[in-house]
Amino acid sequence: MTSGGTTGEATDRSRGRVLELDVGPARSTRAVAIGAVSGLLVLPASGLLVWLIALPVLRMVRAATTGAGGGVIWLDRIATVLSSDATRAVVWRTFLWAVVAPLVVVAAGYGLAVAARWCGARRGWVRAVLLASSAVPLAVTGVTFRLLVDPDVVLGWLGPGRVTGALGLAFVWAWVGLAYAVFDGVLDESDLPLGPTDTGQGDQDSKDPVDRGTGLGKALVRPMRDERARRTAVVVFTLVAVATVRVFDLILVMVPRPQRADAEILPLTMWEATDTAVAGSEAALAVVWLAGLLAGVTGMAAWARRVRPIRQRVPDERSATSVPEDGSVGSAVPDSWVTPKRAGRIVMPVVGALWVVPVIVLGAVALGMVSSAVSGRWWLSAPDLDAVRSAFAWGILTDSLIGTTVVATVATAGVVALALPAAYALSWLAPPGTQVGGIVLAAAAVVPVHVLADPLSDALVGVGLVGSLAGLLVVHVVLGLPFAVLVLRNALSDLPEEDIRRSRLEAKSTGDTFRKAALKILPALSAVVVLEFVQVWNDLFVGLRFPASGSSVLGPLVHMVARNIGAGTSGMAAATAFVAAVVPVTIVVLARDEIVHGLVRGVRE
Amino acid sequence: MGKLRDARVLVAGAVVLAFVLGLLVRDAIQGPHPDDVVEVLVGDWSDGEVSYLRDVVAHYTDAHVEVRAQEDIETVLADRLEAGNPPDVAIVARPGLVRRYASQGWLEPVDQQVTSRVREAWNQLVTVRSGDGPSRVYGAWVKAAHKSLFWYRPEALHNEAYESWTWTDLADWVEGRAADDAAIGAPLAVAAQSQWPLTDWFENLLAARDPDLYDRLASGETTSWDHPAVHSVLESLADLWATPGALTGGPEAALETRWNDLPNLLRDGRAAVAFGPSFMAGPVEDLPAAGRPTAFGFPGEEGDNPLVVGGDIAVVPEGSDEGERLVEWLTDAEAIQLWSQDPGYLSPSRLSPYGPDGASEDDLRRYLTQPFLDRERPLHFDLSDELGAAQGGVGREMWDIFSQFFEEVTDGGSDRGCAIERVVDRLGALSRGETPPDVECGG
Repeated sequence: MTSGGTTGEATDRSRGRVLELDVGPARSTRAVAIGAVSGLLVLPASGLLVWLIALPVLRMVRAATTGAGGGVIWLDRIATVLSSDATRAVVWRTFLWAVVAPLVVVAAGYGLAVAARWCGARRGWVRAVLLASSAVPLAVTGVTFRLLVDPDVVLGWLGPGRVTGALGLAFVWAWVGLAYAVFDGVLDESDLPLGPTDTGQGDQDSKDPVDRGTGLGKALVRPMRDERARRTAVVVFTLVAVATVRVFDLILVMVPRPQRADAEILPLTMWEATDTAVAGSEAALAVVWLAGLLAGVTGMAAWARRVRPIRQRVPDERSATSVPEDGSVGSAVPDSWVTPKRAGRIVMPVVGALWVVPVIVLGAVALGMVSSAVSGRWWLSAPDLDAVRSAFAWGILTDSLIGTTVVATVATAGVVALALPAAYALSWLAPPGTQVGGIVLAAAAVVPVHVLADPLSDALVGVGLVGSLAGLLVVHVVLGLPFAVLVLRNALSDLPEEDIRRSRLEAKSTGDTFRKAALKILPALSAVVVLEFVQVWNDLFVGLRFPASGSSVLGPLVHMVARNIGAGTSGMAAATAFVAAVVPVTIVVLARDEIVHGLVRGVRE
Repeated sequence: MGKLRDARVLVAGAVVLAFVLGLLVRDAIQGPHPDDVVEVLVGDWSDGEVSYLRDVVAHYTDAHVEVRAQEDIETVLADRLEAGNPPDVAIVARPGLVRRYASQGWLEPVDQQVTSRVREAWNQLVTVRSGDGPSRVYGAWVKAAHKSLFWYRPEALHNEAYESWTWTDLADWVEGRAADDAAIGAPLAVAAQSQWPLTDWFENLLAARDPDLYDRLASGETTSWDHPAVHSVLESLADLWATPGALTGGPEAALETRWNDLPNLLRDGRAAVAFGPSFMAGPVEDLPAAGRPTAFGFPGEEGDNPLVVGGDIAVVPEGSDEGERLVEWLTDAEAIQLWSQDPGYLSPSRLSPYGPDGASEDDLRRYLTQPFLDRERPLHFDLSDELGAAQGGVGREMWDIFSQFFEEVTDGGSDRGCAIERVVDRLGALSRGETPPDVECGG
């Protein structure tokens, strides 16, 4: 990799260009040392990912394609599983969730980001409310919407045939804030005159009617002419589509058992399978799910790469002559009464108020203001702290708060400790297989844990970690690793080559260079720390499937108390859920700028 | 200043990392929990049930006891037993699960001092014979549920001889009451949203009409449900549930009714009678004493009331001495007395304060406990908890089948014959470990 002399040149294989590397005085062992160092840096993360993600996936594929006698049956079992009407309905429902929910979330998030600019309120309370809803654990969101729609609490709306609607509302409530924040950040970055400064008035100097128009439709469409906005839409769509797997949390908390069949999606099917080991039919379903997921993500990634800017329309002569010479079209006279500014001023507060309602209901039930002892009746009364006191007096809530803090802190530290060296090696040391590693990481980041639960558990059984705190931590770390490595690798790759070159010249060792590089990507590191911590804090599935002896966590607790909703016993469930949401909401609201900055830029200014 | 901040970040990172490593090393050396803590894993219990057990074990003086509820305990417990990292005690609701774990050599047999506290029929459910060795009991019954009960408002059944009712008498009374315009409230409340009450209806009527068939189906001795008794039970249930005006709020409201809603429906006079288990005594006790609902036994065919029971079994994984000591204490009179603070709690033990020798004057709980100890009463364990024990249990699938059956026979448009045939076919498939067939019954 190096040549003699004080300055050497090496090919940066990961990016296909020549990188000048200062490697100090010529030493014959140096190339070997760098190779060994890069291997050592990548090994812990890659070993864990191979052991607990790649091998379990391969085991699933093998179980799906192997017959009872051990012979290969290829797709026979998958065909058999899919021949059931009920199974096909579940697969179809899972697919619909992955398509429709992201469409709604992207449209709403984008529309709000644009509307916020029209009325200049994007830094206000509406933004905080939307972001806060995204930080609420989904199990808590489930409790909140269950309180809203349960027949025994407030609206009495939940019933047979209405389950999917209630779940959809809860999901959109939880995810629109994230989409809004991302579009907001991208529009801030946009250099189009119609981007950050657009107040819906249009660019009256432009010849393009879309740029010039003041109508609601044109004003809404304008920012999408920027390819970054459209690429962002594709990326957000993909993220939310992958996240629809977590509708599982909502179903478990919100939907009574008899109605679960109406809402069942693949994660629930896998969860309710009675086999404790990797079984053929579940494996076949898992393979169908994984194949669909990977095809969808790959397709969206290819689409995102192909997005190009939309060229401005140059009006032909006829339409040009139809524009009055004073340029009044779309400028002085609005297209209708509903101007973008007016629309923004109406939409933003209304959305903000709507987004607050579930939180108010949760708080009101927790404070005993809304209660119901009899099906179909509810009333308002003076607030009290009885339910909150009961929740804490019980003891498990306090234990779970402590347990979740420990698990989230330690898992986050573990993820950073493993991801940072691996990301550094992948971005600047380019060990063999770097490009393949990137693809595998992206694939691992989207594999749902529900698919892996049984083979992953088998792997942990093999080393005696099932049921221990170490086992729970290992699962959280391995699930958080792919995303963390990707974000940190991207940030490290964005460091100027000159900085790295200088670091290597000045540094006493590879470790010293690594430390300096890590300090330069503190924004990305902070974003990873915050997001990983919140992700672990908000978890439900891992806590349920890989419980740790002697350590309670909040997700399963919220799920347990949610079973008591209705029949006058909702107060404690609401109080527990409210307490469980305080930490992640506070962290995300306080660190919102750091998260966006860390993910978008990642490198210190 | 910037360097100082960087250094702080690094130090903080190093401290957290050291903490991680420390915990992992501690786990590796000490095992999952310290020696002076006894871990008890319970199944899908409500927070109230967990809370009562926590209060009970707070009086255990030999060690600190941690109680944890675990969704899907079958999967998690099997993994932990296999990994050699089990809890000290697990409390499960399915005898079949206990027999399976015992057959795999994962459990300690229970001391005879403990097994002697319940009648033999309970011990039989968790007895396993390993090879040529003697039969051993592998679970200690710590809770029991009486599932053959109707709850009623005393004034609603005034002048009715309900204690000697047969099924026909009950059906006639429901029909008459439903047709009575002057009646306040419907005759019957059904908690269809909870699902398991629907299977309990079926189990009770089957236990009344053909107890031998019940036991053969429960043990897996037969896997065919295509039997006249099964058909006749399903017909009778369909007749009753579909009686116009029989159910509080109609069938749609029944599908939104949970078992713990039933006491309020009785109190408000919206139902005269509700089918529910003994642990309904908990929410019932929260109601005002005046007019508080009470219970009578599920009607039999010829006056013999069936007895369908459920319960929770404490098992001790192999090698856990702490677990054995705790289970011995949990089945002792002191723990049972403490646990009885939970108004929904019943013990099948002879040491129960509600047994013949017990000191309690609570007539209702005495009435509910007495059948558990009566050697003459045949005892049938909840079929949905026993069914498919070899496949890991299929109780939830059975709930789903009966939930769908309830919807079909009460909607007025479905083909009842087809619905019954489908239940029979699907239950048979479940018993044989096959996937229940998809068959649509048209209107």
